[in-house]
Amino acid sequence: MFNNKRGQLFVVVVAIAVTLAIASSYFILQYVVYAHISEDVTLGTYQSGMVDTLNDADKVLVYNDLLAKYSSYDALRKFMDNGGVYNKIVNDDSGSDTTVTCGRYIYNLWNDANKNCYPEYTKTYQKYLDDSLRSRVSNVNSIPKYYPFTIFKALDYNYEYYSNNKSIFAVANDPLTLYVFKNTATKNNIGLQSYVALKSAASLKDGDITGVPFDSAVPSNYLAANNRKIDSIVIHYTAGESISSAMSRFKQENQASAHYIIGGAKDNYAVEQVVLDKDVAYHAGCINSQITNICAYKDPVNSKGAFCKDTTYGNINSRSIGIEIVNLGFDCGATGKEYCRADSLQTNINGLKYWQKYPDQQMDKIVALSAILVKKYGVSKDNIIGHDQITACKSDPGPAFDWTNFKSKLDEALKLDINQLETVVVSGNTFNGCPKTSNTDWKIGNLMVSKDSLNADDTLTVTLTIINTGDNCVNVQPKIYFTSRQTTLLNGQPFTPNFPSSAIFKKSDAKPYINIELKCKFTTDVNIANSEQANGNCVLLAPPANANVPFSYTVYAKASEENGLNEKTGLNMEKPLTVYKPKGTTSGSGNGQGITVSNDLSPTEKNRVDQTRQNLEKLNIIGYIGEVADKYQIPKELLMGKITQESSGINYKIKIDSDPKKSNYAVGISQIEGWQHYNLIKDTCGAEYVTECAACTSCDLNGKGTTCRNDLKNCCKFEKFGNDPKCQIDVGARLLKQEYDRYVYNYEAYKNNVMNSCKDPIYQQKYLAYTGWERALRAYNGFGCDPKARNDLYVDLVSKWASGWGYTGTYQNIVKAEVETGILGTYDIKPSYTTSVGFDFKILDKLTEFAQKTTKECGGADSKDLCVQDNIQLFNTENIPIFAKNNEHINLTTNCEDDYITKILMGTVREIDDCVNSNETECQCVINSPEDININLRGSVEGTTLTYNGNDKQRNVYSDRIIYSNGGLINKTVSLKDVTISKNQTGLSFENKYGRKCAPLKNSYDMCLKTDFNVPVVKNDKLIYENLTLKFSIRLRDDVPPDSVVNIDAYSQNHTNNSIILTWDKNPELDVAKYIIYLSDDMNTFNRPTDGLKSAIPYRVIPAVQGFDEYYDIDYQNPVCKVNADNTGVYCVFNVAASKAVNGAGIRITLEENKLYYLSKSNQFLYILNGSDAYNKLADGQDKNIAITAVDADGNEMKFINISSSTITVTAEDLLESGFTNITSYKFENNNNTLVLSWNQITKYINGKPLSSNTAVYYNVYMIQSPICSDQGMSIATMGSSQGEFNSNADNAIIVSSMSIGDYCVGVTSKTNNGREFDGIYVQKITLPAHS
Amino acid sequence: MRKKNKLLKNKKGQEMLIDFWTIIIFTGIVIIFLVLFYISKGDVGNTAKDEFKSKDVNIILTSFLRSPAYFDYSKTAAEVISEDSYSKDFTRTQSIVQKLFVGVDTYNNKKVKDIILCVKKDSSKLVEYSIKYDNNNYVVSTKSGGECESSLQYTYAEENIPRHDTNSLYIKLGVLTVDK
Repeated sequence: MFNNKRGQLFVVVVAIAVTLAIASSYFILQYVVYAHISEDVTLGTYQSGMVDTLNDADKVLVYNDLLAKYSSYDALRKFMDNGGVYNKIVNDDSGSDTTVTCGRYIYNLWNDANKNCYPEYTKTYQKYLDDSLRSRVSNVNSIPKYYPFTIFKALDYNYEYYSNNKSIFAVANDPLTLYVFKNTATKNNIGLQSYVALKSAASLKDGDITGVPFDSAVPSNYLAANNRKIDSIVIHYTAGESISSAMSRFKQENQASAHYIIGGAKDNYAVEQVVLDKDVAYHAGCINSQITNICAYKDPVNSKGAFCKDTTYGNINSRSIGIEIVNLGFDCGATGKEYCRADSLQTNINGLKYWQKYPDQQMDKIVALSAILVKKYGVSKDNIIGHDQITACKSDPGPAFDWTNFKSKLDEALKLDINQLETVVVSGNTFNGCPKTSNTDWKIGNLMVSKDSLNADDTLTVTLTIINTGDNCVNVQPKIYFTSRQTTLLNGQPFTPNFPSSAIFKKSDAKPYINIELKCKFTTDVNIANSEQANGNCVLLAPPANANVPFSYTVYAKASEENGLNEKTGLNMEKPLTVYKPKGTTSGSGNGQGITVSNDLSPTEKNRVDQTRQNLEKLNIIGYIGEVADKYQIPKELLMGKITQESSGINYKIKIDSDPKKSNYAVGISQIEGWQHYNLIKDTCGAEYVTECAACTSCDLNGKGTTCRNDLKNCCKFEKFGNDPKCQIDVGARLLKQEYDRYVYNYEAYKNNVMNSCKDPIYQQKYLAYTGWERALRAYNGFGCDPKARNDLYVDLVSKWASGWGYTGTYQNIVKAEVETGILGTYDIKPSYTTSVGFDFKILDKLTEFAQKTTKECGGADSKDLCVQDNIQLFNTENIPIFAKNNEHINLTTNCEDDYITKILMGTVREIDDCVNSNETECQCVINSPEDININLRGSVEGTTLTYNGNDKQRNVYSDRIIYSNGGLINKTVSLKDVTISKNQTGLSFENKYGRKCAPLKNSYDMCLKTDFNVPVVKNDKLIYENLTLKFSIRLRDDVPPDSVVNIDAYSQNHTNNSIILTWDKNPELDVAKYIIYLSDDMNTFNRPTDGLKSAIPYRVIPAVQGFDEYYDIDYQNPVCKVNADNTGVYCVFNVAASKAVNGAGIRITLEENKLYYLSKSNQFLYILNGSDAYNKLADGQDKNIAITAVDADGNEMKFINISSSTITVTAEDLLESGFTNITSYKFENNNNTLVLSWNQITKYINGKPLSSNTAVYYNVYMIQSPICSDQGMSIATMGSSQGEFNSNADNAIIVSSMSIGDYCVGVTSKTNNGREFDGIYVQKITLPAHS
Repeated sequence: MRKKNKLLKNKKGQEMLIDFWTIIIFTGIVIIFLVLFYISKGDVGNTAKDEFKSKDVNIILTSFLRSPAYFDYSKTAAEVISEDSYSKDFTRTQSIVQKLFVGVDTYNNKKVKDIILCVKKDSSKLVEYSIKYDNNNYVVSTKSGGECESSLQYTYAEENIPRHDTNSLYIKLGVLTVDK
């Protein structure tokens, strides 16, 4: 072909054709096809959006990693401070928390009594870690702007933990979702953020009842179950004011729950479900220790039920549905009527008088919900009970709950079907289960219209952004107003179309915004506009085809909550809107061409833009403006718009003062005031631009100080600057960019400026809604908002001109469809972290071994201190070298070297403990307070909390042993309320009943494992590192019983029936907790060869740690008994020796039976066995064997006692006398000097008990001649011999002959058939007259 | 008489001429493709590069904050900055900054003139370091003033890190480059 001439030419032609084809294809593709594809889709742009998201995700993870690391420090500190034990808070129901600890003695107690009371370090550390991380996450002050859709929300942070001995690995259960945006501009757009927030708003699903939202409690607050039988409903009140307050509790770990909550007025009586019916909610149970306490839990429905949080069937929780009603209960307390609500019910229940009533609307919901449950599960109506019926310790639902009314309404409700009932229940419930709630935290965030100017046949979309920053739901009903001066249709009045939807949503960090939309059409037909508007439809009148000017509307928004609640009339935002003639119609110019306004500006406005362009072209500066815009990354059109607004491209000066030297005017194209921006001009354009001004001031012209600027203002004209348009443009652009950098990412700073400079709330809202370049423009123009000057329009105007320059920026014109295109997708990240504590948890195993060994070995050692120290030394010897290999240094010690605050607190606890429990006599409790501190001691039955309010923090120290008792159950209440230790107070004492006593039992040892691991702590805003010390206590487990009780003696108690006085020597051991008295007919019972005392039954168990009375000595064998002055009975007293008496010196006391007395003179205990009670085994004349043993605090008791020293045989004696009587009449017969006496029959013994009817009684009559019967109760020993013994069957009269006249003291005593006669006598004075 | 061109008349000459045009044409095609390729690459590449430019600084900043402190590997630079913010003594922070940024002379195929690292708490600047590269020397200095550098000639990245309390610190990294 190449040899052929035609072929050669063909080749050339083909080559040329191919070349042309390829070239033309490229250009067609490049400039025709690709020209329609946005620059945004260029390869790399979208990818950059993804990288942007990746960066955001990375920032989140960096932030989270550090939070986790700090949390691990917190956790380790708490772990160490609490001895590796986590104090669980167990809640029985919605009422109260109970701290369940393993016991404390200064520090957390590691003990054998509860097998769980040794560290479970993995779980414990994880728990502290989780707590700390949640706390830190929820306390992050501000969400970094750079992750707008990545919200740190504590409840979302559920981690799965994995651990080994040295580190914890945690992975979040749920991912965090980040949106991938097309580019940074769309990401930063508030309209887009609003839309995305709406999209990402999590909807609540329905619970068991259609329309009732289900917002689950955290898993630890309920028990997942299936197929449980429901036979009861328990009604509670929340003791709060709203659903949200109750929900916050249900959302916390280890709290309570219920199945349903019925809201109050604030919740519009909405109903929410918290736990599904199939699951067990914790609402009516109790903790184990409460089963037997005064709360007296009972189950009115099923008496077989247990009442605690176990999973066994029968538990009332397991069988019931719990309904919480939002109600304050006795909110205003027992006496504070002034704080009561007006509708409080005044009923006194347990001293609580004022109870909030249950409104009818709420009662209707309760009834309807109960009826549904009754129908669903076949619950008996009688099994709908109040929490107060389960335990006396609960008051809910209280007396304000009208059960009669409830049952009556329930009967009616049960006639309805479930669908009808559900309608009642869900009425008031709202979209996505968000109950309508009044709050003040919402606001109008933004008003957006799809276009500022539009053609008559367009449709306008009005989008209102509502922001809810509160915790409650809100139902905002927006109103949009259109006013127009050009249309007579509206007559200048606003037209308010019906908004098709309202903004009902619940605040959460993930959805702070919601957008609601209204579509409005335009028509040129007045009739259509009229009729549509009459129906509330948004149809607006557009200018007719022959109109000369467009219609201008003003759109503004207001909003209030539904039902008019919390109306916010002050919040409105205005938006000018211009509507042009319809497309295709003729204009007034008559050229027959349709008018299409491509840039949405009116002709006049467009003219201004065109004029500006011409002015700038004259200066040959348009290209330079583009360069500057690129340099400062400002949208070129926006910069043009700003110049248009500032100067229309004219380089002129305004505000020219009459004094030519003054320069307080704005200069040039950018209208920059040189005296304000001296340094900016200098830095941007060069020092030569301000040289002329240097002479104006002696200041260091670095822009510092008002004086310097005023010097400039009054002197320099900035001539060079004023003559250089390029410099003016450069400075103006740089200033705008500076404002952008300063405020776009720092809302707080921007907000502060707005709030400080603009006091009008309308304009404030408008300004605060700005983002991006709008915000920068606002700052550029200043933050003031003079309504007359309308400087608030600056941003609107610049935006308008920018639009004229072709700017299609994002200011305010974001609508849903546009926003959607800005989102490329989502990117999920699952935060995970590994925290290495740098501390080998294995040491806890070794410490546990040490504790178990030491408590066992040293409890009964002769020297406990020595034994403990030996064990500590052994531990250290074995372990210090091992850990030292890893450069870890540990040392176990009992010298914890706490800081002084801790020492004081701990010392206080110990002193209180000792004082209360001690049986020692000579020690003194002294607490020194080296600095100005206040310690409040608040006592309670179940423990004492010492709250220290010191310089930097509050600390709590607990002492369970304040209410120490050996029986395992709390049986003593010590009230330490409101005790204050004040500055430098010394010698602080806590007294038990008989004075200050203290002596530590010294069975407990505080242990500290000192380590060289340190963690950072912030104190007084300083970061310091503190070494960690693992703190715990051990309580020695004493295996050795106290020695035998010796020197037992017994006496029959005079004037009693078989009662025995027992005395024995005090056992010298300090940890003796009680004595046990055994009583038996057979001595062998006490000491059988195989089981010793085991088969004997304790007759008396006498606590010996506290509660006994102490005297120096008592003459217990010789009571002195006397007749009461009114002859109603007899009292016996025992002399207490005066010498060294600790208490009751020199007095006479009455000894009570079955009570322990301590005789300090002889170091003996005294105890009276009551011989006449119903369980008396002491019989008159019968021998009984008594053994006494001592039991220590650990329950140790001798199994085999020493019969010879620890027992005694007693023979009970009836030493009880019958009483005495009084003379009812006497008669003296002169003739034979005879005295005839009459008296009442004896009916009772001297102790007041009645004589049996068949008891024989003999009377002795005593009589002495004496003018004075000073003591009516006298001893018969002073009355001489009896006048004779008279049988009780006589006529109660005696005749005494040979009486001489005079005064006599006469008394009558009695004897029962045991022959004992009471020594006391009631005497009466009689006077025998002279012989007549 | 008009002379005929020998080359055209000559058969060999004709072949040479054809070969010549063929070479010219194909060379032209190649050149056109190269030009088109170059133009296309420039359009696409520049757009992508511009977008990615700012992302690179973000990555650098995040990496820097994650870097272990050379004097204590158990701590990251972020943690050191956080700690230093309490004492307001940023000596350790400065040493890390020097260690990691001194010697960086190229960024995005451009010469690095200055790198700034600014730390703010709330709205107060705590410290701002500048590492300037000039005449083959690096000068590390502390910048005064109440605001972090915000010149538009720099490319910036911003990030927040938590402190041990509940506050956050604001970190800003800026890179100033010039063409090589």
